[in-house]
Amino acid sequence: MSKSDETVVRLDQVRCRSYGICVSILPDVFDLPPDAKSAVLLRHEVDPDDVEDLQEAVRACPAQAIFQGSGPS
Amino acid sequence: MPGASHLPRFRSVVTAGLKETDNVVVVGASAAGLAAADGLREGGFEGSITVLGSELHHPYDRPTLSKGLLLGRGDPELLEIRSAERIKDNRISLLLGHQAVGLDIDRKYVITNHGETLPWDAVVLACGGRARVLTTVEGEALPVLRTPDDLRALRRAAARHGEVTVVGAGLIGLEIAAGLSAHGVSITVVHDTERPMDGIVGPELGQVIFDLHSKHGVQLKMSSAVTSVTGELGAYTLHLVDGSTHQTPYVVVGIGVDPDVDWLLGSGVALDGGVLTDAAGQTNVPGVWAAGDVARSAHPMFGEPLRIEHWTHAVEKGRHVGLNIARGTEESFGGVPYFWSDQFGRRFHSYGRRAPGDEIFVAEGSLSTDEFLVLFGRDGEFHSVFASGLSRSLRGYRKLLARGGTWDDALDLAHASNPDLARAAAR
Repeated sequence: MSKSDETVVRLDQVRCRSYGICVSILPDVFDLPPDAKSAVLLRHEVDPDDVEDLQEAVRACPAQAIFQGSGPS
Repeated sequence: MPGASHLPRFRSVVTAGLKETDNVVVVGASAAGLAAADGLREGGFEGSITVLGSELHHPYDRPTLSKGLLLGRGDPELLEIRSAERIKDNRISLLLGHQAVGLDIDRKYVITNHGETLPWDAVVLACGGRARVLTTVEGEALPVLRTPDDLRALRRAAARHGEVTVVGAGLIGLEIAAGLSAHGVSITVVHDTERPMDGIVGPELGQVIFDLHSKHGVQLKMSSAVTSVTGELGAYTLHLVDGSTHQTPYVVVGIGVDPDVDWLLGSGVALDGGVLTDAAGQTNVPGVWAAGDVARSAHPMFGEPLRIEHWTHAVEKGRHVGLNIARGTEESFGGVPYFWSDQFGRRFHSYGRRAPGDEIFVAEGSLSTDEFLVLFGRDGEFHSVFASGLSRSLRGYRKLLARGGTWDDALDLAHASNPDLARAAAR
């Protein structure tokens, strides 16, 4: 797979309300550091095996703060 | 009539699933309804989608009402769950302030409170529920927390009276208690069973939650069903089952949500504690589907149909129904129920569903500290995982629940992820 085909993830830290649902779904991608104002991304690319989980995290975010894209982040 | 005039009536190329479906009406513009509309497009549906929303607000993130916004100050800032742009891009006709008041299954119309008759080839019932009401002897329906207006009223009253009584120690009642306490409001919670949330989390965690609230000054009156309420704003009296009374200036009620099915009585759609559906989301009437809080659905993980009133479940089930309609399939939905809750800075997450009498196993941390992860199951079955903090540890158990893993699988995972357990077992 070429680099540009990788699934990338973007997080809107202004919209994020720190619900942390994404962390319970994909802890390798999302984290919620103690006392942080929003979730953070631990990485920007998502493994092909985890794309379905990423899509679920996108849908499960009540703040709609997670976005999936492709190509280099 | 919006949505009908521009219908593509004849189409030369359609897929099998869409052949007889040009027009879908979705009743409800919250989590399940909007997800159903998105699912229809995701599944390739090209026809018209009309979504009816009974509230006038643009669809917003409802969970935040009892979570972040209760803690906040100033005018509540509602976060829209779909941008107007995305609704437009998905060619969804969103009718706010339009409530379905009737369903005609023979002529296939939804009738609205504006007198419109909206035709459908498929309809998704995603109209949610109504907060259960407690009415005073004098006939006043006591406040609940379900809409932004409810939230504003509750915040104002809490600031004015400095003292609030919450009836019901379920998720919403406890979130109200914790949220208002943080503002220095003196809180009493009155609840019918022995411990808070015990129907959902069992006696051990119920006690943990009791202790958490007590520690923060919330007064909890358990095993205290309310038999009646008298009085008026500023001076209510709650009459409790043991004959005692409780005086309070303000009451807010969180005793559950009833499915909004009154408008469907006599429609021909089977109702029994909600709109009954199979695991695919179909009702007894062809072309009529249901998702979200209003639906009581068969589920491959559970023996009898259940109404699962959790936000992410509404989203996933709504999308699933949309996909089924678009593709002409009847695939079962087996998503693992999930909820989260914020109370006094603690974040609770739960996947699965604890059954009464389940064994509890502490897989990480300890119930006497802020962070722990426990498993519930019985007779070799793994039913549920509940975490206080430690959200990073949930993924493995979530996966296990999704694929029907056993209690032994769950214990194996616990031992593999927690060296302390392995050491204790080796001793």
